[in-house]
Amino acid sequence: MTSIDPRPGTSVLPARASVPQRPLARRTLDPRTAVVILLAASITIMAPGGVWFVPAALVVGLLLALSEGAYRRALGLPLAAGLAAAVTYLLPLAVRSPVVGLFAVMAGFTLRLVAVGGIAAHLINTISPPRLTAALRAARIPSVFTVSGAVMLRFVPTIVAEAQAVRDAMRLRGLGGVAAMLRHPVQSIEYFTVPLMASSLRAAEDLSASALLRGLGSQTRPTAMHPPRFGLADAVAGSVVMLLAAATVLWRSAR
Amino acid sequence: MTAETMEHRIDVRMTPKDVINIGIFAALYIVTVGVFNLLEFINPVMTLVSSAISIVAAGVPFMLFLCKVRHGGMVTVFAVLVTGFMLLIGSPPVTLLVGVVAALAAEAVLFVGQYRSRKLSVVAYAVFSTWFAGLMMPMLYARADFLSSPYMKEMGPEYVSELDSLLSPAVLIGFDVSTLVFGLLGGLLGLRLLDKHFRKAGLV
Repeated sequence: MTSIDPRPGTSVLPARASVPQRPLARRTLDPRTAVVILLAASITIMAPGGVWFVPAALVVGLLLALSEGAYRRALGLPLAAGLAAAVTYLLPLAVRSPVVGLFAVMAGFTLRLVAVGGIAAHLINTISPPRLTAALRAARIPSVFTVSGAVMLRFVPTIVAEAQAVRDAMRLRGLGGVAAMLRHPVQSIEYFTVPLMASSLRAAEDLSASALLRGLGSQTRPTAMHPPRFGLADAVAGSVVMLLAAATVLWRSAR
Repeated sequence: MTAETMEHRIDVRMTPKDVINIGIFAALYIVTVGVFNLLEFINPVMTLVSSAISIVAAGVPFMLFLCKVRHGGMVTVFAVLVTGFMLLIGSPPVTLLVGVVAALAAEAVLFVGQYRSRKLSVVAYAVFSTWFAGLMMPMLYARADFLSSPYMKEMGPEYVSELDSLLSPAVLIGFDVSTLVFGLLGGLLGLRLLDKHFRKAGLV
């Protein structure tokens, strides 16, 4: 039924095996580098005072989009960030009201999310789950975390789809809505979670049977067809990120 | 039963089935929390209300998860996944730390109940729920920084002072304590729904 990607090895490659993978893997970042950049951006930006790092993260996201040839994202990223920044900083100056202020706070949060999201989009687009798990294994992350994390990421879209179906069914019966939720919170929780859990757990049975069949629990260490290696791209990306971070720190102390 | 004849020791070895279960229930937990947290976009006061509702709601997937937990370590891995995901979508990094500490405490409670006690599993969920306090922690340790951030300046002094008085340390500590209370409620609700729906359907 559903194909499960989070198997802990890259030994089985589907039809794509005929396409030469090595040049691609050479040009794109090593998954470990991409994850470290993403975590660094997320932690600095979401920490107090992290707005200062938003421009640097946007530049990194832009360069990454250009490097993979995603020109639509390279255009959209600055546009989205510019829009969010305008609502955050310019709108409250033009119109003074609490409602606009609330919008500005939300836009400020969106701005941070856009900055981190640009880097996350690169990771999602260029790095396949088998490459990611192979790289995380090479980074000595315990398999308990990588395998269960991969299962979780694989399963979230399924549950979101189920949740939308449950919400539609509730609305059809006139049970949905925020007002009803606040009036009878416990009842709404029951009406929503019970069908969601029941249908998701059935899908989960299939998923885990399929994963076990593909050797998820095997004791031997899986071999990667293309073992993750650091290359020139990682060195370039690393130094660009360092430079941008240093520039941000200098800029901040100068202000 | 067999639980009494088994020797009482900490076992952290995971079977592949355990690892898959952790991933599945972490996903269910995150989606449940996320759906009920959408309320917080209505207005700032709703942030606290929506957190309370999502703590209660997430008791259902968590109690289902505890039915599958037979040994140590699973709740901690679960906490790392959930708080790690929250970190990626923009929660303060301290949440991960709070989550792991809360999970270890919950593991201790479960261990005392030999992973089969119904009462202690409710307590374990309440203890685990305290990780929600991590989301609000920057208001305690970086309050001045948070309130003087550029966008707060443009909100006007009235808004900032209003938010300041609303999220006073007393309110925040009250919120931290209330996560325990709502956790207990969520655990009880989860247990009730487990008996009412899932046990009959053979899903547990």
